[in-house]
Amino acid sequence: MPGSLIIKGDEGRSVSRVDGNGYINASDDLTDSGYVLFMGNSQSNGIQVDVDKRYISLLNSKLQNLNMDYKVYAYNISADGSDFCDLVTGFTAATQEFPNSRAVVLQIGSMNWSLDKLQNCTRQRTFSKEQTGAYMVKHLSEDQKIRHMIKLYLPFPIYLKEVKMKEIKSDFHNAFWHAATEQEEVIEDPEIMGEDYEQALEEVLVFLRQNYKGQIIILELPSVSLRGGGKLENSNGIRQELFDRACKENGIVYINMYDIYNREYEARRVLPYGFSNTRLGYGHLNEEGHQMTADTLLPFLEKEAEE
Amino acid sequence: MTFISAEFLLLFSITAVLVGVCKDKKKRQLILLLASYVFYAYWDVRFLALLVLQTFISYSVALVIEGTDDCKKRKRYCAFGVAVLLGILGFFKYFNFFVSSIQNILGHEFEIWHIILPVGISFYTFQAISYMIDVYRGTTPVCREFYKVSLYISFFPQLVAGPIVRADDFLPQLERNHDIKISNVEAGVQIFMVGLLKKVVIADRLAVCVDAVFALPSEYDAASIICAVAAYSMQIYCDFSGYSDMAIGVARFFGYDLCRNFNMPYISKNPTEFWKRWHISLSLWLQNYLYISLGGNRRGIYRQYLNLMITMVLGGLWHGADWTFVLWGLMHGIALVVHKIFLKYKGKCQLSFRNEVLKKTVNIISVFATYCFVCIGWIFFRAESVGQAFVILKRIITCAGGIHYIYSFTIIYGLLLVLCHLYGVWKNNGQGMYPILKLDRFWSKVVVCVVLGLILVFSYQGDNAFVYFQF
Repeated sequence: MPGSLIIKGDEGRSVSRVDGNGYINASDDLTDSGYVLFMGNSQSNGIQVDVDKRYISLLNSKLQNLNMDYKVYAYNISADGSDFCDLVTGFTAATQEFPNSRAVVLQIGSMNWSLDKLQNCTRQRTFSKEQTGAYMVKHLSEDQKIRHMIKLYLPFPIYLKEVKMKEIKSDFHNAFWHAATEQEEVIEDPEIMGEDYEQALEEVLVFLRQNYKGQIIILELPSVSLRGGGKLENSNGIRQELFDRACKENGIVYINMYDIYNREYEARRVLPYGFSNTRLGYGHLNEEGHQMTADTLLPFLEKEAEE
Repeated sequence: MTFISAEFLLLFSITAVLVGVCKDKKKRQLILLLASYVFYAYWDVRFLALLVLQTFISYSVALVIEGTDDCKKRKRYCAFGVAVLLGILGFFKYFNFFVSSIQNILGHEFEIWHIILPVGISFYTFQAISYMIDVYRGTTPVCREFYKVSLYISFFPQLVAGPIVRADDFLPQLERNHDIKISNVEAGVQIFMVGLLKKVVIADRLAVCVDAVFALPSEYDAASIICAVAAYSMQIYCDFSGYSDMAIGVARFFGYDLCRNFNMPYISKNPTEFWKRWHISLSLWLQNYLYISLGGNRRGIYRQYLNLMITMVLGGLWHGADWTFVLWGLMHGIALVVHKIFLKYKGKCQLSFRNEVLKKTVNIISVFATYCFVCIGWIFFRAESVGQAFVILKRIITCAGGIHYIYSFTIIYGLLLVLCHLYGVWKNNGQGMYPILKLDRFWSKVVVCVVLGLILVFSYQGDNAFVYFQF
């Protein structure tokens, strides 16, 4: 909710403020002039690290130091838990809410969305002012505000309902037969998608290109895992090649951070994800990860700003 | 089914109500037995047959032993019973290990069954053996009611991860009718909460760091590995003693006393003291039924050392079917022998410190040295292979570089545990204790509620089974 403070301590630690539009940014004023719109998930919100260490904030400060006649800002409208399909579904609404953007960065994480979801994501969510943060603050009923506050400040009942109850149901489901069911667990290979996947991806990228005139950058922050031998393993695999090819064909910039993360790991043994109070290599971007991401993205945005 | 699950809460509640409603001693015990069988069968009903079979063998052999006065026959029957029970344990626990060792020697793999290890088999097998040997030695009278022997072996609080209760401790308790008393309920709930705190707040949280580093130790620097080893020493202590506390708490609720299993092991000044404070029920079992059966210290000093080594190696193997556990047991066996030799020479040379400051300093150094030794042992205990254990040791010794990962909870919980231990040393003369409050006062109730709230808030919500379930 606009104006809320988010205090984070379970993964990294930081204090964030939600801006007047309902998004997590250092300031509300960033959309006053030319800006780059960042759509992504919790990685882009970056509430696990201090505000000034987040990659969007780092880019913001660097863009403002460019020796140009006008200022370019980076503005974050990410929503936790969004995958690529969610971003595409909300693409039109986002560009309508923030119509003056110079470029859009779509930040994605793991690529395990279903084919069905990909095929349907060009069906756009309609934009309405009633859904904006500023409107909600003004027009929420007391009852809705109280409900929202309970959700915000009492996460435990929500956790019990959403997570624990499901676990309990599944435990009861396997009662008296756990040893047998543990043996039968089969892991499905998510990469077996074939031509349908490639075609659906092509259609989505064509849609994005046709509906936005400015620069579109797809920024992939892949999950990586330690596999020994001083290297990181990339979990997104073959889908990245498809993305790379399809983006090139449609004039979209595709940045995959895996190579940078791996290079930094080989050189300095630093990992982009994880914190001293969680597991390194997992979870959200840490300060190193944000820095690497900002450094990689900056040349593309500088070039765009100069144009 | 673990103690921290909705299923257990349901089973426990139903059992408590039925035991509370029913006044008859036998019916109460049958209810507890039924609950124990449901508790065990919930994991996999097929293995319930194994539990019943082990109980039946123990019960029958004890009756046969009691039925004869011929010492040789009694011994033969007892040996037969022990062999059968160990044979069952060996098949389920060591068959895969045996096959993989042969495959390694032969250098090729062949298709053979994969045996699933039944939960808690090591614990209830030891209890079944304990009953037979006690009857053979005459320290426990034979029990003619099958349900009582069954309840002793399968009593659900201690069924899958101990404490390993001795027959002469538990069977006499079955002669009394246990009403659910408010004092027992209060104590039981609070002891359970202590265990819950150790498990879900400390052990499960520390597992995050331990699992990460032990999965790929070759990628982490020496400081991170040392931090992870220290975290593991706390994790295994809080996990296992936490489970024991919960078991003791649940049993106390129903009016039964289970033996203490841990007594601040990390303040031990030497390996001998460590084994008097760590997994006490297992140490006593090994001492009473293995070490003494091997001859103990009755056959000369060198035989005593050998007996100690055999006991510790087999004790290590009891923990798991892997060479890492054998080495862990061997390490502790050697340490116990070295300590015995040291004590012998200390006595001969009359080595002792009169100066109090010097004495305290030596004690502190001894505690630290023993802790370091125990931690080196934990490396073998936790490592996935002997090779990995040596990789860890090598990286520590060579101060190897790599990912720098100092887990903040290792430091926080480390300090917390040090403070708790210091409090135990100061307040209770080095003995562990449960901070049990009398709940007749308002503020005591508030404290218990606050502690419960804190446990919920700080509990780790990932998925971590009890470490000792695999044994």
